[in-house]
Amino acid sequence: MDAAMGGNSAPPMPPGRPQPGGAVGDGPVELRGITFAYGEGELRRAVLRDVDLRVAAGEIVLLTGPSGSGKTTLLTLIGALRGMQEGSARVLGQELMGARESQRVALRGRIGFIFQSHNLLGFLTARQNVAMSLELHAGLEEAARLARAAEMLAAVGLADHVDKLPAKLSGGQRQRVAVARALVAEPGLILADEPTAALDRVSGQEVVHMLRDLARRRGTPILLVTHDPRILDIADRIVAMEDGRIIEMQEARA
Amino acid sequence: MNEIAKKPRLLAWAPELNAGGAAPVAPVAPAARPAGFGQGLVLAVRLAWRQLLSDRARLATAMAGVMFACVLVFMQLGFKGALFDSATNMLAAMRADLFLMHPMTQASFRPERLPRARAWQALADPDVAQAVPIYLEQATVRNPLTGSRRSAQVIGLDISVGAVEFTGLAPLVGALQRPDTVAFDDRSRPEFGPIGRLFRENGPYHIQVGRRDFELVGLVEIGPSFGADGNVVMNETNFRRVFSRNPGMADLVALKLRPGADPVAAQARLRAVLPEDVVVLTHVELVRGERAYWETGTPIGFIFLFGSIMGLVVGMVIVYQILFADIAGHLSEYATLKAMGYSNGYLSRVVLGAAVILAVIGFIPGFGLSVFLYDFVAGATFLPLHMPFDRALNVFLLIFGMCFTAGLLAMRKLRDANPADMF
Repeated sequence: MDAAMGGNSAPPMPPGRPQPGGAVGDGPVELRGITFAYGEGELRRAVLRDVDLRVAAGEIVLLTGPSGSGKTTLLTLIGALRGMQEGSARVLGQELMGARESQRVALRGRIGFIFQSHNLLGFLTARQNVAMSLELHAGLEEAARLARAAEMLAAVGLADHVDKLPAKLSGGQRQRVAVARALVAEPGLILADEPTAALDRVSGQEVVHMLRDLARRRGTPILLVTHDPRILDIADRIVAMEDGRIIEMQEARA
Repeated sequence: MNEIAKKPRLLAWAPELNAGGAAPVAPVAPAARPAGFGQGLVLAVRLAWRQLLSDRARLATAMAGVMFACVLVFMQLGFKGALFDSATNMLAAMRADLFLMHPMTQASFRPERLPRARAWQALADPDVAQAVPIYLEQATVRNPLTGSRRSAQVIGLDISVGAVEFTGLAPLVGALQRPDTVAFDDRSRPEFGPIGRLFRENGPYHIQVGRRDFELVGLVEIGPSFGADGNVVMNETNFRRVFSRNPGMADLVALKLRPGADPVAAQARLRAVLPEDVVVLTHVELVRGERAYWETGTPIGFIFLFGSIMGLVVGMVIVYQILFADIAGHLSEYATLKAMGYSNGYLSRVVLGAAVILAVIGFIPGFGLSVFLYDFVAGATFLPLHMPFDRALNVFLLIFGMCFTAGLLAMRKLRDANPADMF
């Protein structure tokens, strides 16, 4: 069937847990020589210079650095939200350099996004918001979608709040709904941008630990941009960026 | 702290969370296989519906806008239809099978005369039973209360033949054959005074038509048309007493066919036999020709068209504003949906879905209100307002097009929802 679709020969699903000894060069994220600039002519301002980065299956990578260091731009490139300029980026098997809009849209459907603000649809309940992630995928009936969404909300500790509108939830609860929404469609990769920025310490910690535990059980790799030193403990590896370059990589845990 | 480990659930993708190795539930959703178009459309429209419902005030505004456009268009079309219907009241009231008319006659208030002999020639056809020349003139009728004069259409014909069946004329045939008698159209405009009421209360009395006194012997029902505010019917001989004109020329000839005769065949035979100075028309063609004169020869049609277009434009602007505000107010949510893998096409269908929903839920009350207003206005003005099915369908299509266009315009705002700005 994939052959008949042409072009998009992405693997159907990431495995349920980290593959032991996954082949090097075919990780969920493989970036080589990424260079990116905003503006034209004299106003041209380089934000990424020759960035190489690899995220292994099941790995949790934190991306830190001062603002303007290009980490958010890198995240939008990996998430296929922005067109590539130079270099090579293979994300979940899809080469993004020169990818068509439809290929990028299809890839986004296989990535779970978590934003600074929860960005939930205010007119949908928590459960309906989470089910929106599943509506993109054929093969599930409405009842099954809602059931899956409710299970996912239970997994982030919101079993009693499935039918509440976002306005009736606390900030931490909303961000947990956003986590559930990012995870429910079983993405091959999770991209998060400062998910704790709008939260207090306790709820911020809760959300990222929940995210880490859920992702780890499923072997889903996470690339997380953050300024927040309180959540560095969840990382397998911390990558520091400055002026569009990766300046330091450290294994966070033994 | 971690509540998840304490609350094991049946999670297909996390079997270690399932207590005691319970059987896995539903199979994993196949990723990267987009939903079918039809299913996607249903979901998009449902999303649009939920979004519309979430802001009742805005929804009510949008509905009111569509309703407003709907009622305006219905009233414009209703008035137009009623005016054109009433424009042909006199001819529509003349119920005969075929008519002879001069080909240069454009409208009944300004007829070109044709030789009366054509009526007798038409009698040569075996299916033509009766032929009645009809004479038309404008004359003033004096208001019996105030004495003021007003123009009315005077219809002269040989009453005794009975080929032209004005409502209410049959019982008056004997009376109208007396000298200086007339029947007055009871549906004439009220400016002529309470002629009908006085007749019903007091019986026959004298009214002045032109400069001559006539005895009013009865009432008929015809209705005012564009050319005349009222109608007066009199016998041919009485007609000649008021108007001195060439007796050999008539304005219209009504033909009555034998029972069971085919009017179309008779029409074709007459057309072949009669000279070039007459056209042979069925009743429907006669009325249609008169109506076409008023529709094309006057700016009346344009005025109502203009009013309808204005209604549609105002409605479109309102719907556009609502849809635009909905998108502008939810840009980050739309951008998030794009980041989640929803295509531009899907979001466009959400916006168009909202537009179509507004068309439907605005049209239904708009239609109901228009039907009510038709009744109300018809009662107040005696205009023949009614709601034919094809008008309802046409207006719905117009409203649908209006909302759809507004949706297409508002859709451009979706481009501003850029998922790359979300981080």
